Amino acid sequence: METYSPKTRSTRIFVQELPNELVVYDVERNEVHCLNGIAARVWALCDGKSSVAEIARLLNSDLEAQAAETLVWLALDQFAEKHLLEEASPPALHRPADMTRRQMVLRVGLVVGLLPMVDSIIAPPAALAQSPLPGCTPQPTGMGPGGCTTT
Amino acid sequence: MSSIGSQPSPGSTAGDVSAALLDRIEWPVSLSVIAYGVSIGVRTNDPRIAEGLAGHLPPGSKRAEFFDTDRVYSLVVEEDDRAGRYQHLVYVNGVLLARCATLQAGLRAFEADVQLYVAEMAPERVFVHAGVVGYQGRGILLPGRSFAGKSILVRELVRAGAQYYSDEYAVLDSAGGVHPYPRPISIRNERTPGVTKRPVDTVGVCARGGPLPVGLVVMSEFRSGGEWRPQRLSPGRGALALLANTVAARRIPEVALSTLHQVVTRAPIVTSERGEASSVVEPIFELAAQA
Repeated sequence: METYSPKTRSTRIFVQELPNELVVYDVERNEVHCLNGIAARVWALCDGKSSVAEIARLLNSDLEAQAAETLVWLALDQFAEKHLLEEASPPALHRPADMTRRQMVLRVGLVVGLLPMVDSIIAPPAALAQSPLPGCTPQPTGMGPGGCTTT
Repeated sequence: MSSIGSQPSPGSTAGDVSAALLDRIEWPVSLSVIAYGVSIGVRTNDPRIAEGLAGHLPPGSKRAEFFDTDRVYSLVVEEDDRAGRYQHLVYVNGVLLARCATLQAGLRAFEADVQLYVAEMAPERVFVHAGVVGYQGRGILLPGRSFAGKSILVRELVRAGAQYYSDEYAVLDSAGGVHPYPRPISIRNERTPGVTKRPVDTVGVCARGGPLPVGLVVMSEFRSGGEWRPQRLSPGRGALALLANTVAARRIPEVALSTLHQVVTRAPIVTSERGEASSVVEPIFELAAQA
């Protein structure tokens, strides 16, 4: 079986590094993601050359090899779900068959209590926050303040 | 680009009819202004509107000489034949934006749109929906959408001694400094529809100085009976929370992220529901003093 070497997206995204976190803006989807410390470290190691086992080793965690790999798979799962990986084939096709996400969370969660997390929002369109305007009535063809149709 | 004055109005397909109509109107009042680096044109067929127009422009708007602009507002007052009453129409570049029964509502529609436009297009500032006060030489940001109760919280903080900066937008520069946006405080009456505007000087001290470094960000929403239990957010999650309130997040994401980075790496960000605004004034001041 071919070795799986995940690669994070490098196009149509903006990345902002923070102390122990990473914020990624996906221009294609207008989604913004915050990677916690461990997810950010996995992200940095997904260069398309390193295998999952190598990434796990490079994490330099105190975890045993299998647990560290599980951690990497958990991060990859989330990256794939949020469209943050380059390859078309999702990591779920490559990871060992006995690793469901629940099994992975249990396995690593019990050991370290700190899982890779990716929090996400949709960047708001400019008009989203505008208030409705009292005294005005809807106008089908007009674009009102805040994207509301008003007159 | 379009011009104000006697030039034809630009019109989209939807606005062609309106644009042609507008071109036949006489405009006794027309002006060009620039606000936060954004130029706009305004014209009206009713000279009586001119007097109150300035109060509906973005704070800090300055008159400019005749120039081309991307956005022209046309405020039209006309008699409604069917009802025998007047109606107030607001057009943007020849496209009908709002049709209002009262002049006040028409001006509010104009004000809301022009402020949002400036907030999105400002070339050197990032606008975040937030109340802002100054306290001990630093800014306290209170991000929140409309109806989150930020105006009331700003008012209470100002009454307690903070300096008023804004009840609508935190205007951030590339270094993370927050600038005043001193429009009158708008407070919604919960019992009756509409908005009451209160001049800043009736509730506290208006900001007249320059930008302040941000010292504290408070993500808080009013809930009846809500308890104040502030939890600190990580800088990354704080950046997400601020970005969710950033007007031009989609237009200039890289600039927005870079600017917010300046804020979240320097200022603590806390989140909590809250009850009455007056009950959280002291806790917020305490947090700001500790930050």
